[in-house]
Amino acid sequence: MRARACLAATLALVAAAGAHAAIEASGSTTLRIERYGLRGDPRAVPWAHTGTHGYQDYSLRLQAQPDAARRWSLDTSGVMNGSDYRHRARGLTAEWFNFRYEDGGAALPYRVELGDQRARFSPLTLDRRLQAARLELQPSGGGDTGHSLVWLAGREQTDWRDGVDRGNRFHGASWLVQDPSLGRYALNVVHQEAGERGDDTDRGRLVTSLAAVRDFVLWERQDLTAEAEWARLDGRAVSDGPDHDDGLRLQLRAVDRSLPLDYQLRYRRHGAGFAPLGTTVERDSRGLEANAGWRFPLGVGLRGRYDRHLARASDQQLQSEGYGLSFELPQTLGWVEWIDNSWDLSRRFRSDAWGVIDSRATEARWSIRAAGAGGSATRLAVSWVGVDDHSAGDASRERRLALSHARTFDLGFIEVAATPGVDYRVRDGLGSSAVLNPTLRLDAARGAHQLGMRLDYRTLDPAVAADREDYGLLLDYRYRMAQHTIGLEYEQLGRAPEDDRTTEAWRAGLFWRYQFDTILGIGQ
Amino acid sequence: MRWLVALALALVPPTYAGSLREFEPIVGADPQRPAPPPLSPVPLTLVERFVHEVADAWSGRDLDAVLADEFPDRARLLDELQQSLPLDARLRILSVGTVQTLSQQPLPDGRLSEVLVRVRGQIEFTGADGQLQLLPTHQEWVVRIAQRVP
Repeated sequence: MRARACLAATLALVAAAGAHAAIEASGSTTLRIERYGLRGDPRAVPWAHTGTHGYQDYSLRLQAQPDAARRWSLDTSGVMNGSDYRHRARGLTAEWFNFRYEDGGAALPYRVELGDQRARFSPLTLDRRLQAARLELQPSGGGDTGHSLVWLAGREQTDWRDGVDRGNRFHGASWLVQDPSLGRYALNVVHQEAGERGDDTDRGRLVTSLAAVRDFVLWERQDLTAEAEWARLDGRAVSDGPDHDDGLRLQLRAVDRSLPLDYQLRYRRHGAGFAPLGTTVERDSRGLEANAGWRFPLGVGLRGRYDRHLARASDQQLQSEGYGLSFELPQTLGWVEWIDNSWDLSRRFRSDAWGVIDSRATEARWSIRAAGAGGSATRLAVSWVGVDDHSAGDASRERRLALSHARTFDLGFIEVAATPGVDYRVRDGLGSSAVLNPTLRLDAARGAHQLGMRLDYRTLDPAVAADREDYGLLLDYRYRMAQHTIGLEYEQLGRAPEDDRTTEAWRAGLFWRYQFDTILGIGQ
Repeated sequence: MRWLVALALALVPPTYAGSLREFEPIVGADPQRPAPPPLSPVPLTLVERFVHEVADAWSGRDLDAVLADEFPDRARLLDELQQSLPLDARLRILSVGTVQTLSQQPLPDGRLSEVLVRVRGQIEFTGADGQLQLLPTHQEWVVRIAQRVP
């Protein structure tokens, strides 16, 4: 029902806004049919559903500019679904519908947006994808200062199907002032109500924030961008929490004009009752992040970082503190020009006030990339991770080595790229196990034809269970002809535990894609 | 992704730019503040290939290479992934859904796009009982793609 309403709205809006304008239309549709098969233990394969699955995606964008001060666009996409791997529901589902119209020639320039959209006021008030109606006015006050007034009402929902839970609701306004010399300032007010999954006693909450962004020069040599936001939430956001609380975030980015130095600082503090719905704010928490980089001659880079995070600050006080140092050495200081080196060292401490958590982790990584003749490249990554859990008296040590080599060559008239590689990981102590994973990837292309192949073999040696061998084969062929692409895929997975009860699963797929980009010329 | 040259690719914060909203001029309203050009959708193939690269990076413990610099709690997230995941954990992509180009900014020789893509996947690892464990994920990723435009 809602998908049909979207279609009807589309036609009506295009008819209303598109008169006397050439309409640019672009989009695509992809039909995909897959079959999954299994022999052996269904609990040992990653595909939970066997049999035939198919779906057809569509996307369409229409846009036009009737004159120099008016334009509109319409975006819609969705799926006709018959697959358990694509969408939770069968049938037609519109996943995105957005209509946008703007008129800069009106006495009060305005923009209207209906449907799915990125609703963004600020990180502490509203920053979500919503199904909403939005009106923006940009009154001209003369001079360089720009004003933007936004009113918005909408709901958090990811598609237009009936019968799904109604998401959180938002209703708010934002006033933004932007001046080239004074910066960017905003006053945001958002009323929020929990959706059907929320608490029945939820009567909504009001979040108000003041935010500012300003560029300035420090000591006539450092270009800085400072950003600050303070927000207050009124209304009980947590059942046993206070009926109002506040949040704060500060951010600073700097680049030095004369020295090869840049740095960033971020701080945030959210009260125990500060839980605005339309954000990713973690209530009752504090956070600090800092990093600084210095670029030496010959491209050598050094960057240090520090972060500290406190969650459940008012009771358990879960604390995570980390610092690290990374070092980049392109062309090995000029000694070996075809090798780039990088190192990274980090430590992290975790603890809480109850003594349940008390651990320390240390990690060291070294990677090199060596460029060879004919565009070939070799990558080697070595890492070591040590975790000491003092609260449980456990410890683990993990070592990893990953090596790959990519080489391109001509095989007759076919261009081939071959990438053999191996990944070896071993963990001692808590959760000890070992994984050896050699792979081979081949990509071949000629004209409109592309063929890819990947071979994957993995041995697992877990301490708590029987040894196991996994293997995988992936074949991927594509043929492109003008606006059409046809693809064939085949994937086979096998699993052989130590007791020889082998399980095999396979997936065979076929897809057809049609893409277009044209001028319709309606109304001309 | 090579048929359209990607200059840089990154998985950006789930809440978009993580900053105060920007002033977006309305077309024709003020000659001193020209409106950005209409969106030009990013090719599907480019986005699909990048989604699989992200999954490979996650499985190879190399997410550092694709995670945007401004991702909230970036260092903590990367450390947790390195230090807490089961040794054989990997991310499998089950389907890549429709793709929506959200915004674009001009670059000296191309454009930078933010794209929303629906991804169904699952995290796979061996549990303490030796059985395969599957954790399904259904997410909307925001991906930043820079293209060189002729």
